[in-house]
Order: sequence, then structure tokens, then C-alpha cells
Amino acid sequence: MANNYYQDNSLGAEFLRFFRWLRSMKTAIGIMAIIAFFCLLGAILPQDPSDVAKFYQSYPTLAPVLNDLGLFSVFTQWWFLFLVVLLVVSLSSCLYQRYRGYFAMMRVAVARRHQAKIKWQTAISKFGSLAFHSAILLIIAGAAYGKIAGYGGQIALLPGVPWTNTRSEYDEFHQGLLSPNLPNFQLKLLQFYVRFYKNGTPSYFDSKVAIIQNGRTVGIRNIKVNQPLNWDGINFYLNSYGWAPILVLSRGNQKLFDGPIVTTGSPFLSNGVLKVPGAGPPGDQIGATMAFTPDYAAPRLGGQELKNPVLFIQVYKGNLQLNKPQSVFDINLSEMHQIWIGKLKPGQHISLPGGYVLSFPTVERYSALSVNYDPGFPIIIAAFLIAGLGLIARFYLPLIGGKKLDLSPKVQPEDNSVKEPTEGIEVGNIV
Amino acid sequence: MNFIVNLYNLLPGGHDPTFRMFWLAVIGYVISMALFFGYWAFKKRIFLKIAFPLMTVAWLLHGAEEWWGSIPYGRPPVGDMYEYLSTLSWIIVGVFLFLAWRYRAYVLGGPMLLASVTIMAIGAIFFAPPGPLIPALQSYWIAIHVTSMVTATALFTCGIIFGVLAQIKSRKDKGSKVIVQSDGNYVERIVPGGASQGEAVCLAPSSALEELSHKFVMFATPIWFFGIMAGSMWAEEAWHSWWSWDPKETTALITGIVYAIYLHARNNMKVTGKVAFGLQVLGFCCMLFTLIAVNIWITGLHSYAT
Repeated sequence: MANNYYQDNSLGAEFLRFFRWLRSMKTAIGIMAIIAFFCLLGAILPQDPSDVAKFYQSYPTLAPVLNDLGLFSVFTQWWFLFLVVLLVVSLSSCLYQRYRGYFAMMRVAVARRHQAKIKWQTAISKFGSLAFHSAILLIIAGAAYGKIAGYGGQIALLPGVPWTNTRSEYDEFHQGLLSPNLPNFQLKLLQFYVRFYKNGTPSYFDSKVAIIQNGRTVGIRNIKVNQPLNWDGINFYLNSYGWAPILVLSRGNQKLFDGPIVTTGSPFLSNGVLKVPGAGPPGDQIGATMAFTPDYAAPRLGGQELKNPVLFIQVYKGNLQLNKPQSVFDINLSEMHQIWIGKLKPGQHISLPGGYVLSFPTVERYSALSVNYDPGFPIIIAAFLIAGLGLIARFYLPLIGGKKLDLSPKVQPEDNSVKEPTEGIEVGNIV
Repeated sequence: MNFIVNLYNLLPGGHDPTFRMFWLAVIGYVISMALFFGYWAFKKRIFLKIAFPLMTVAWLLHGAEEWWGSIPYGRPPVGDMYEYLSTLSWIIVGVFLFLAWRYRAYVLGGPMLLASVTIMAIGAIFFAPPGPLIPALQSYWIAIHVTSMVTATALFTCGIIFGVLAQIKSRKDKGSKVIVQSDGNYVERIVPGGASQGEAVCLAPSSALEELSHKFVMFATPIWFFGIMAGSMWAEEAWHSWWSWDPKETTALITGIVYAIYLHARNNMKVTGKVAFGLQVLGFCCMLFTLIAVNIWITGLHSYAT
């Protein structure tokens, strides 16, 4: 019997009991508290791979244990997502019940309008609470949709070389299960501008880029910190900048490589690699590792600005092993041997054994950009608006015409019947 | 006149005139705080007559110091930790001015100024002369996000002050337990608390203070969440994601959750007294952790805030 399910031990009744437990406010708050606790762990413990590596060095015994518990990636653990799902189920069933109650109350209020049983302020305030809680669900939905249907990554815009929006041109790329095909367009870095404070930290920087579609320039925009470029719903953020020495490798009249090299690291000394698989068959390929400094004041490094640029370079010959997966910023030197080591200044060139000539005509700045396509963000904006209005309705509307709090000091009424002589030993206050 | 100039030059702050104004405000607050506590202890209105105008002048000076430093750079005075903490205490004193005007609750001046002065003393450690912001902070969002965070922080701080006062007062209101000798046996008796007839009292009853504290949390929590949402919108513009589990945004969310739990317990489950106060203290600790600890010990995207 439905109304006697407390004694019923069937599976359906068990489920109903579980559901009743899940939709109570106490359960929802409990789940929130557990989520908050794990969030705290996620905030205190390092979550970024490079920070985790530092943590391993500081706490060599503790770190592996925490790693096994998954506490270095709390926010992507299955149990964290499970808790969020549990919260969604609990909150939505709780909300369903409350919406029904709310509309029932409103129907009654409308039916008995002349009796004026309900204040409009109370009605709107209650609805504000419902709206805010619905917005929480909407935020979680928007976040999930953005993760599933979005993509993003890191790119470097090199001077003079157009960047095409295809997977292979990303230095790092991640995408959701249902992410769409990348729209076809190109970005070209026209100009990079940076200004410094006296202490050497940058005070302002921006990148002027051209957007090229089907070979035609369709727009020219400035990207700077706090001002991303939005194209086709894709956001491009200017993260940082660095030096890109331009190198030319040739043999005879044949140009084997001509282009900029992305160097990463500090603004004072950055590292890069050159890979020229076209120099010959595996075994005769050319590679190089290099370090660039814009202001070489031997024996120390100078500032960030281009005053005395020097490129330290080691050239290798052998097999680059490009058939094995590797990062664009790394070179596999296990099957290569060094053929030249030295330093170059802009405008210089060197002759390498084997008839190769390596020249370093100039150096320019490249821009490092983050790319993010998040189709869930419009949902988030909508949810934030609903949440904000809901909070205003719930907490600020009742303040209008509300009762003024009485903060005047009061003398407590004297009650002679309980008054006892105060002789004796005072042992403490009542809690 | 020369004497005053010499005295002014004795103030810490090196050659920075704004920092000297800051210390002048601190001195004004400290003297008026002592007088407000004096009013609480001795119940003489003469204390108020000196303390209140002095504090108002110090508050105006404090405000002028802050806004004078930041307005030329087109932003509210929340650009670094020093400005943030200074603004925080300025808002707390502003709230006291409001309470004094609306409720004549002058006696709250002592504890609230104590909090303000403590915060300013901590803020002075981080002093930096006003200047332009680093590129990462050059956005109109700083006015929206950081201003709402500092306002909510100030209101939460007021809330915890009233909560503590309510707890202190509730002990006094409830009375004390005494052991009395009767017929050779020791028995416990309860002596009712509260002031006796005719005795002047300053502080409102515990229940009213508790309600005031609750009202402040109710007012501050939406501002806190609004600040988080504004920060999230800013992050979408600056950090390529509206949410990236950065330590500071995570702990800010935790603070919001704990205060939300307090509000659910207090409003819906009718939890009051010690338990509600405990939840409020927990929320306040989370907020302090967000404000200070995350800046000092944990590096993240918010690290420039120090």
C-alpha cells in the first residue's frame, strides 16, 4: 500500500525512502558541506602539474599517498563529479517539491484575493529563492555543456607567419566529446607592442592581428590582457609574449628552413629548438637547441629589452625520430651528434660542416595566446542574471517597509519570585 | 603651528603624505575607540560628545586619503592589499555611522573601531604608495568585483562583531549559577541576570544583537555571491575561463557555501544560539582564509593581489 510504505520492504518502497531522504534540505546541505570540504582540499593542495612536482620535492613521503587518493586533481575525480551529480539530483527534487508548493500557495492566494492572505512582497521573495536555486542547476548545466561541446588550447602567433585554425597548429589542444569542427580562418600577427615600467615589469602590451578568411583580410583587431578577440564565438586571449629568432638554413641555393623559432622561458633567457627533417633522410636530418637573451651583458643577463641580443646555439645532425610523438618544444637527441656550438648575433651567419649555412637575420616578438571556445557561457550569463535577481528578490525586497529592529538597551523586568539572596560562591556563568 | 608640523612629521610613513593621513586617521580612531569603550563602562554621555565628532573627522580624513590616491588612476581604492584592508576598515566605520544614525547604537562604536584599527594596522604592513595597476588588473571589472568583495567582507566582519557581542550579552542576560548553603548542604541556585531597575544599560539585549548579526549576514551573502559572479565574468575576459578552480575563487565559493548553510540553518531550520553562531564563526574563518592565507601561502591566478 502506498500510504503504508514505511512497513513495506519492497525495492520500490526502499527507493521511495531513499528519494525522500535525498530531497530533504538537510541532505542537500550535507552534500554541499562535503563538496565544500573537498573544494578546500583542492584549494590547499596543488592541482597544477608543475606545483605538484614541487610538492613532491617538499613532502616526498606524503605526496604519493595524496596522489593515490586523487587529491592532486580533486575537481576532475569521479567521486567529486558524483557528489555534484548527487547535489543536482537532491536539489532538483527538492526544488520540484517547492515549486509545486509555491504554485499551490499562489493558486489559493489568487482564489481568495479579496481576503488578501498573502503579501506580494512575500510572494516575490519566495519566488526569488526558487529562482536562485534553479540558477545553481543552470550554472552546473552550463558548465557541463561547455566542457562537452567546447574546445581550447594554446597557440603562438609568429611574426609574418599566418596561423590557421586547425588542430595541428595548436601547441596544446583539448576538446569535449561533442565539440564541433574548427571553423576555417587564419590569424596573422601584424604588430606587437610593449611598454615597460622603470623596474622592468611590463606596464602595457598588445598584439595587432589580422583575421583572414578565404585569403581575404576580414578584420584587424587589437588583443590585450582583459580584452580578448572574439571571432566565430572563439575567444583568443593574449597570455604572454616572447622572442622568436628568425633562422635560415640553406645548402647551396636550396633553402631548407626559413622562419621564426618560438622560445619559451623567462623574458631574460628563453629556450627553443629547431627541427629540419627536410635536410635529408633520417640520419642526415638537422636539429638545434638554442637559448636567446635580448640583453647579454656578460657575464650576467641584462634587461628584457632588445639591447644586445645573443643566440647561443648547438647544432646537431642525425635522426630526429619524428615518427615518435614529441612536443614542438622538445627535441630527441638520442640519435644525433653535435656538429657546431657557439653564439650568433643578428645579421651573422655560420658555415656548418656538410655545406650547410645557418644565418640569423633578425629577431622579433611572438605572441602567446590561449584559445577557448565555450558554448556554455551564454547559459552561465543567463544563470548569473537569474541568480542575481533571485538574491535581490529574496534578501533585499523584504527590507522595504520592513520592521525596524529595536536596538535600544532594555532593563530586564524584575522578577521577585525567583530572586534569591546572592550570598554564596559564584562558580560560573550559565552557558 | 611649527609644533603641529613637527608632530605631523613624527608620524610613520616616510615622505608619503597619504600614508601620514592614514596614520592620522588611525590615531583619531584609537582615541574615539577608547572613549566609546569609556561610554560603555561609565555610561556618561560626555564620552560620546567627544568620541563621535572625532571619529567622523577621522573617517572623512581616511576616506579622503583613500580616494585621493586612487581616483587619479580611475579606480576605487582596492588596487592592492593595503588599499583593500584600508577600504575594508573605512566601510566598517561607515557602517557604524549608519547604525549610530538609524538605531542610536553608539555603544557598538568601541568593538567596531577596535576591528577597524586592527585591520588598518595589518594593512599598514602592506603599504605601497598609490600607483597605476599592472596590466592584468586594468579593467572596469576591478571596480565591480573587488568593490563587492570588500563590501561583503566588511559586512561579514560587522556581523561577527555583533554575533560575539550577542554571545557575551546572552551570558549576562541569562544570569549566573551560584552555590548557596542551606541546612548544611550546598545547593545550586540561579541568580537572574540583566540589569536591575534603575541601572543604566548601554548594550541592546542579546536577542536583538543576534538578530542584527543575522540581518548583516543576510545582507552581505548576496553581495558576496554577486562578487564571485562578477569575478567569474572578469575571468572569462582575462583568464580564458569563467571558472578555473583557482585557490582564491574556490575558497571564496566555500565561504559562500558556509554562510549559505548558516542562513538555511537560521532561516529554515530555526537553528539559533550557539550552533548558529558556530556556523557564522566558521564562515568568517573561511572568509579570513580566503582574504589572507590564500594570498600568503598558496600561489594561484590571484597572486598579484598581495
